[in-house]
Amino acid sequence: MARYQTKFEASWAPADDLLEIKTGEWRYQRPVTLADKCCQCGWCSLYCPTGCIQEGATHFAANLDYCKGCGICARTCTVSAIRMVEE
Amino acid sequence: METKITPKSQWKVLDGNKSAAYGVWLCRPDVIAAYPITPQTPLLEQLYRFNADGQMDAEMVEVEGETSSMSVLIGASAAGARTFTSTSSNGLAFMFDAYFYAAGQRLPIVMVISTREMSTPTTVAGSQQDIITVKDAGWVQIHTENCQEILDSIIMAYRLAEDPDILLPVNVCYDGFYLSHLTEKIYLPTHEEVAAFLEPVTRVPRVKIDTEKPMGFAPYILGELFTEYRHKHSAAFQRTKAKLDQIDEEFYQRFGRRYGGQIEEYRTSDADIVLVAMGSYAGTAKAVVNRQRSQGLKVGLVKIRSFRPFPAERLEKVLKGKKAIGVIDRNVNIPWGCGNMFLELKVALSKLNPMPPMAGFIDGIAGIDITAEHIERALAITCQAAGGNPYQEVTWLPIE
Repeated sequence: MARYQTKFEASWAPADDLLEIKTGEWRYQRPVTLADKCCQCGWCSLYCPTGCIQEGATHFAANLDYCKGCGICARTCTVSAIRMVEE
Repeated sequence: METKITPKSQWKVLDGNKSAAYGVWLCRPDVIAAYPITPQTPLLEQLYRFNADGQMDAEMVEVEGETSSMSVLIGASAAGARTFTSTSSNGLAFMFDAYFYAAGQRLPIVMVISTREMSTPTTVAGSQQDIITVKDAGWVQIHTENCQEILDSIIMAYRLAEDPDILLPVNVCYDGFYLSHLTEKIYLPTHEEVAAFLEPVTRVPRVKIDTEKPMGFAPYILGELFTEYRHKHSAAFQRTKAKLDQIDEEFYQRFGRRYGGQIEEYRTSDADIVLVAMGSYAGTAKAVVNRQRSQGLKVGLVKIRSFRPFPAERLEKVLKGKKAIGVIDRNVNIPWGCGNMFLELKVALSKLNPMPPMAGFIDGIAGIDITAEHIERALAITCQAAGGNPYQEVTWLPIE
């Protein structure tokens, strides 16, 4: 008799559990946005592979719980407002 | 097949592809994404015609290939839509990545396969090699004998796929170039009758992508949990066997036609020798059975409708105590050198003691007709086996 762990027939899971995994914890560098240079075009948030960049009152910034430090945001920033800083 | 008399307004003259399109139309799918390939193209043309004429309200996605068509349906089905696609041969091969993915995620997608030979040697011709080659990817496979059975099987396929106890994708298969282009009289149920037949599964909610209640879909999994999902997938196939027989009976109660569920037994009860066939050539085999019966030979036929799940228990029951069995395959298991139906039937009957002698035949590949003469030759070899004489276990009928 097989032992089952879940009630699901296929690989579905409540998304809340997935958000508990801090996928940014093995990052070696992080993006830092210079608030006065950011023109809030939102380009970085469109390119971010993890979708972790959010708009704040004055500038866009990455949620560091999920940012993997890939640096794509810094490369794509139209006004060079994002710098990558070593952890 | 049993039928009741129907008023003329309820039938049309259709070929197999169009019959399939009418079957889909009757089930009112939400999303259709498909790419044309011979010999399935007229099916898509008819579906586009339904939508253009305002007779169907499906989201039709014009994709650039079969990997995309199945990928579109994975997303749509995960969002709760009733979905449909169809393909053949190389298109199915090109789809394989997404094909396995859809099955593993237990999405109730219905896909028609107008079966065709696989290249190389390069060819565009009838065979069941395409669908049989993907037999272990976790899709249900229903094989049909005539154009009416195609339409009816599509309706039954949605009823099976969306059943909460099953949740499996279903292939409805018919012989490309034979049934796909064969014109027959087709009885058409109404949309209301089909909706009532599908109602038990239409109203059942299933796990789906929902922005109000976010769910993780197909996340990365290792080890025991992965094994659990595979085990559940396999267990669903065991449940499918009885469900197929039950749906066939319910279909008969409502529409007056039935096909036997997993298998059709034709004049087998008092038969000494039984032939086994699958697909359109089962019709020719029935004619051979009738002719031989009139000459005093006690022969019967088993038509396999469900190749996946393989109807092992019912075959064991019907073939027990027979003097010999002849299996005609329209496909080749290339490394084994025999047909796949022959191979699996040997496994299915291995518990019988004594196990009846079995003769395997390969025929009808790459567009060769499986004629009555071919089937009579197969029967003659099977009779030799029944008499306890030495016989060739596997015969490639067109070239031996």
